[in-house]
Amino acid sequence: MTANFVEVGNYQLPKHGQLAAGDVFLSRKAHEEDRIIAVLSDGLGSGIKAGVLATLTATLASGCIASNLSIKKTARLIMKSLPVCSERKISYATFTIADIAKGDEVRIIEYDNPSYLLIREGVDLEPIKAPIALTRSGTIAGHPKKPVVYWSTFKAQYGDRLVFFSDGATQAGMGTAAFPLGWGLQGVRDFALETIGRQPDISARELSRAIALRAAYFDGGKPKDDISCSTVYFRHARRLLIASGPPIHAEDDRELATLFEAFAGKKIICGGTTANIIARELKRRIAVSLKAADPLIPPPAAMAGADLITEGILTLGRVTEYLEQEMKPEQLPDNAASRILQLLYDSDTIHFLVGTKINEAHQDPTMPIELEIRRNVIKKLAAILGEKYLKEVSIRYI
Amino acid sequence: MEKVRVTICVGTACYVLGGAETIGRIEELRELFGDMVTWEGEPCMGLCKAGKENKAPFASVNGKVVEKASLEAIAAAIREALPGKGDGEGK
Repeated sequence: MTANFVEVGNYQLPKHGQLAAGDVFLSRKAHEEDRIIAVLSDGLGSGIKAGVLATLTATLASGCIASNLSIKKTARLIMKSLPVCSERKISYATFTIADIAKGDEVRIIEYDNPSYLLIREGVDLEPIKAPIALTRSGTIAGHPKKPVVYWSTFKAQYGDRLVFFSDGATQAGMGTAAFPLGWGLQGVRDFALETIGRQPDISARELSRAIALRAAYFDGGKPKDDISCSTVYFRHARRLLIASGPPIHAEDDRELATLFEAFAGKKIICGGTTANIIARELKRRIAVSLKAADPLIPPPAAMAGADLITEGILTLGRVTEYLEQEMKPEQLPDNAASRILQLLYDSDTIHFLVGTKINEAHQDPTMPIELEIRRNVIKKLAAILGEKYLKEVSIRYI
Repeated sequence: MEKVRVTICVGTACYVLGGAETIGRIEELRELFGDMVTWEGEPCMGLCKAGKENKAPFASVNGKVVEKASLEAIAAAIREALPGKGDGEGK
């Protein structure tokens, strides 16, 4: 692991009048190699048909690159696999693939999307790109004659931003008096630099959103094509600790409290007994609010040195559901689980400090609902945070 | 006048065994007793594991444990604790 945390964010607007986007963005983690692969593909046309082309392309591309297939083979496989458009008699989808290893080794493969931006210290750098002409064996009807993909690589530094977008952004406003040829790469670049200048810490998603919305604005609020923008932001990680569960041996209570107190970052305690142990060891007082009550989620509490205290199993179970359903905190009522969700979204590396003592009271068969074992709940939560939300997650048992 | 202190356990077991409903309706008691009573929560009283299974949810009134602490049980315990209790009740 390097000092860089790789934040990936994306924002999309479909062409006006289309329900589905014809641009597809995919990002995945290849765990074993400490690698993140992000792909943006723009399918020919718009709507469902374009969406299918782009989905196929993005999925194939990320799969091939993750399994270390060569660029040529990947590109050829994609072009062979795409179905042919019935109207235009060609099959076609563009792509930009960013393959990021170890937090800073970046390789980019581009095919017919607008050129990406690499923004460092307020300047757009222009890495040298190697063209790779694809030779086509056999005849595949209707493909562009001589497809060329561009390959480039760079070592990311702290604070770098990699921004890529579909031509819906660069062609926005085309035909208007202000931009007869569209907003253009230069326009997008200037806007990105200006936005970062104003908000140096802007998140990957927020920057992508700002660019996509500005492009849609130049289209008069009705995008003339799918507009997508993706940002990869290399920055320091925001750390979060979630302590949940009493240690199996009471003599480790002190260690639990010490680890909790020493952690640099945001801190949550999930579990009443756990909270009482830490409060006792640190000689602090817990104030439980009886407000923000939810029929299924016990109310949150506060203590000096903790950003949030909640009940354990019910709350963590609810947080997992929220994450599975991709809920946003602003859509949810204010309860202990939505507050945890907010803290999770705002963090990059999440450490779980898990006490493994089993709560006998929870195993009582007269309980009206089945309470899961803490360890399983946390394993599930950690998995979804890592796989779906690309958070860096660690679990330590105590 | 010394206020009556009510503490309600908001731990998992208490919450699923009826505490949620009590806390959801706590305003009724606040209105009933006004500033004669102070209210607070407690992350876990630990009583569910102390040989008092089947007695959750728990609360306490001036330190005295209330078992199966429904709204009514808590109200009764508060009345008990209020000064002047017994006047005219002829117990």
